[in-house]
Amino acid sequence: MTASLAERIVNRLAVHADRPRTSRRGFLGGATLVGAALVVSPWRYLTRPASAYDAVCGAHNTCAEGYTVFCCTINGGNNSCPPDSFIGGWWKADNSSFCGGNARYYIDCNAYRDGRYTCHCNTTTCDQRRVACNQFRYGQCNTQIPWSQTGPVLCRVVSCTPPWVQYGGTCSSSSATDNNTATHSAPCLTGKVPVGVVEEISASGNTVHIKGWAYDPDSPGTSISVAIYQDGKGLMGIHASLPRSDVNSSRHITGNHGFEVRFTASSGQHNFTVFAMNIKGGSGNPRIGSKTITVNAGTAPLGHLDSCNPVGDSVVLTGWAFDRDAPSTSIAVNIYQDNKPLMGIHTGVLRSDVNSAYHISGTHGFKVQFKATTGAHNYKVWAMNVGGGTGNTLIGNHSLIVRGAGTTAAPAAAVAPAGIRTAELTVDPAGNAVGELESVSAAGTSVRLVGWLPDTGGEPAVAVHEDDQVLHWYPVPGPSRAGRRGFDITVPAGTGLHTYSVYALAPNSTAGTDATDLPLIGQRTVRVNQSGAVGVLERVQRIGDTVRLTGWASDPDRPGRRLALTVFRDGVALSRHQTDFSPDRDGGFDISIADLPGVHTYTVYAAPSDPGAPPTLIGARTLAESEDEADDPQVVSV
Amino acid sequence: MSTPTAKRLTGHGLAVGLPPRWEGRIYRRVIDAGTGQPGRLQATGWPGENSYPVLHLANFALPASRGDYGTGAVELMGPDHLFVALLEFGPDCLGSALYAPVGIPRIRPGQFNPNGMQRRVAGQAGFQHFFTEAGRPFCLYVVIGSHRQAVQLTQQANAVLEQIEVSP
Repeated sequence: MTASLAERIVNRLAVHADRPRTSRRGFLGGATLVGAALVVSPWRYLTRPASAYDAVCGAHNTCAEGYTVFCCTINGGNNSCPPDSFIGGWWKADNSSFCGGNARYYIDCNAYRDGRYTCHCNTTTCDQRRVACNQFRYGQCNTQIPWSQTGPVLCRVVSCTPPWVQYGGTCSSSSATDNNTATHSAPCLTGKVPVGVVEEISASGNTVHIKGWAYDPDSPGTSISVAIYQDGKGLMGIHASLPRSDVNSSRHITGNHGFEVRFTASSGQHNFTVFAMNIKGGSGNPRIGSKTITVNAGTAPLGHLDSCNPVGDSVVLTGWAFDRDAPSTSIAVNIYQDNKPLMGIHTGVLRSDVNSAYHISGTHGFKVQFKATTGAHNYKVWAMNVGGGTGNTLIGNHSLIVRGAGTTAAPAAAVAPAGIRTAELTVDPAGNAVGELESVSAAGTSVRLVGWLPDTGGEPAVAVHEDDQVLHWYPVPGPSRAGRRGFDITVPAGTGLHTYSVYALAPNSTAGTDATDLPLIGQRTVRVNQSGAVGVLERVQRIGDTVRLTGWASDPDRPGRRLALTVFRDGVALSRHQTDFSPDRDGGFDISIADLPGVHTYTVYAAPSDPGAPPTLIGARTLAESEDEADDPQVVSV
Repeated sequence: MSTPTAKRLTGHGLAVGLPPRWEGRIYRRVIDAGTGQPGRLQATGWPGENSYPVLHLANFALPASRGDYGTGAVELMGPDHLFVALLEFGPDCLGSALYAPVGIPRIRPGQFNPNGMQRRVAGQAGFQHFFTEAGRPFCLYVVIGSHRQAVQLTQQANAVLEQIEVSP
């Protein structure tokens, strides 16, 4: 607001009209308040012709001057609304020295219109302002109480904390300003505000940890409360009553003043602010700490497209997906055909192997069959993120050829299950092979990747990704045999489950090793350098009404000991067996079980030698409905 | 002799035709809340604080320093003077009991109350009313310089209230 000439003239007049006026009572009693005045408003007291009362209680401190008393004056020293009153609204004075140069907030406590309080002047201190007289309301708080029930302003609470923070849910942040009240005060407000430090505001997963200390110098031996706000809204009040000998020692105080709390918050960015609650004099409950943190930064979903098979004029997709941020929750899986959205499904099939491998529960498998036109198609399968983390995960990218009704599946186009993966032949949309990742095997702290690329002239290369991170690219020099250039790569690996993705780099390619535009020729998940059984599910065959599973399993720490095996069909335990250590078997197994019509995934687990250890996934294989006696490729152990 | 042309004051979705010898202001305070980080001043408000339009009308010279409800100005009023404040609040007030009345009110002389003021000033009287107009929540606060002249001043108040327009 720019002052006009008229306004400037009026302002000059206003200076005289608003000149501080001290009461006789205040003048006579003022000597006792000189010390307090020096403490509260030293500059004002020393530089302006005002009494000590005036300096302590500020301007307009008499009843005749028409303002309302502070609540602490009439409410036993408590800077809060008395009983049978409500917060009716607030205003602020800017640049307040009471609040370290910040805005100072005044909160009106209105009586109800029930006659409970009668209008009078306070006479107990220099804060001789009016009590329950002014029928007025600022209007931002408790707006559910209509004007018809609103009584006079009983008294005023004052704070350096904004009301919509201090009284979250009660007051709105609609601002009103009256700088003419900036110096208003009372002796009961001249104490010190609480002090404290928030030492930690952090999150682990969805658990937030807040720790610190606080006390009120006006009552240093008493434990006070702290209020915690989340995103500007009151969350909880806790007692700062934990022993903190270090605080007591450094501050020369007694009592218990520490606080520490852990609580759950939703994923995402949140601001947490801590206020120390005043129990004596001083105005307001100071903010002693504030921090914005990311709660449960989260991870993207995990998953794998286990099979992508043409079956006649249909395509069958099986796999699994889950989000570590909600590990027991089924998540959405979106399927794209030839880079166009085809359908969205939810996981809902029990996959004990996945649950076992990742120590989770729930139903995270999926299996879907749908019609497709004859010809080459590409399928991309995305696991949709829930909880924290950003982005959805591409869990499968596979091309195949649908040959139409009456034809059988092309075994080479089958994608093997995760954990143990069979070899995989990837074809481009025209049906040409772009390469094959034949095996991925872990030995000690290394992982060996074996496969081939088609020899199209020049020197191709492969890009190896570990857990979706580019690891390296490797030239595939050859030699060329039968139109193929083989690669045999060994990479160092850390302990644990790792997924390796191998992408083809065409000769003289200028593309980077980013997977975005490179053809994926294979993806495997292997367990590296972890104790327990190892083994291979070498072959899964359908022979008439029987399925035969052959392979081997052994515990390197206990060679020669038989291992218990469990066979699962589509995630359901089916039968139990043992490895055979007869001289010609050497830990092998040869299991025949009754088959069922349809597409099924068979999984073999070895029981641990050590009680309590998780079972070891030896291998898994999905058989298409018509895949009788298919010539299964080599299966790789984990 | 020609009739004086009423000045028209507009801003922030508010408009008013000012009668002769009246002046007015429409403003919206700027809140400089800094960054909200510890150690940084929130001199004129905190992060999250929202200011809304305020309309002040008076048949006397308004001082520059005024509270939103007129402190700093009402102290200067003579017995013939009128002060009108129209404060808008945030949309979260909409639909509440306090702001349930609809429309800019017209005042009856008996509604002025010597205690109906934010700050009581001897001889004066105030009137306050919360309402919603054009989907916007408001508080109207009117102070008359002399309670004894409530009848005459109420007519003037209603005449100027008649001129206030609120856009949605």
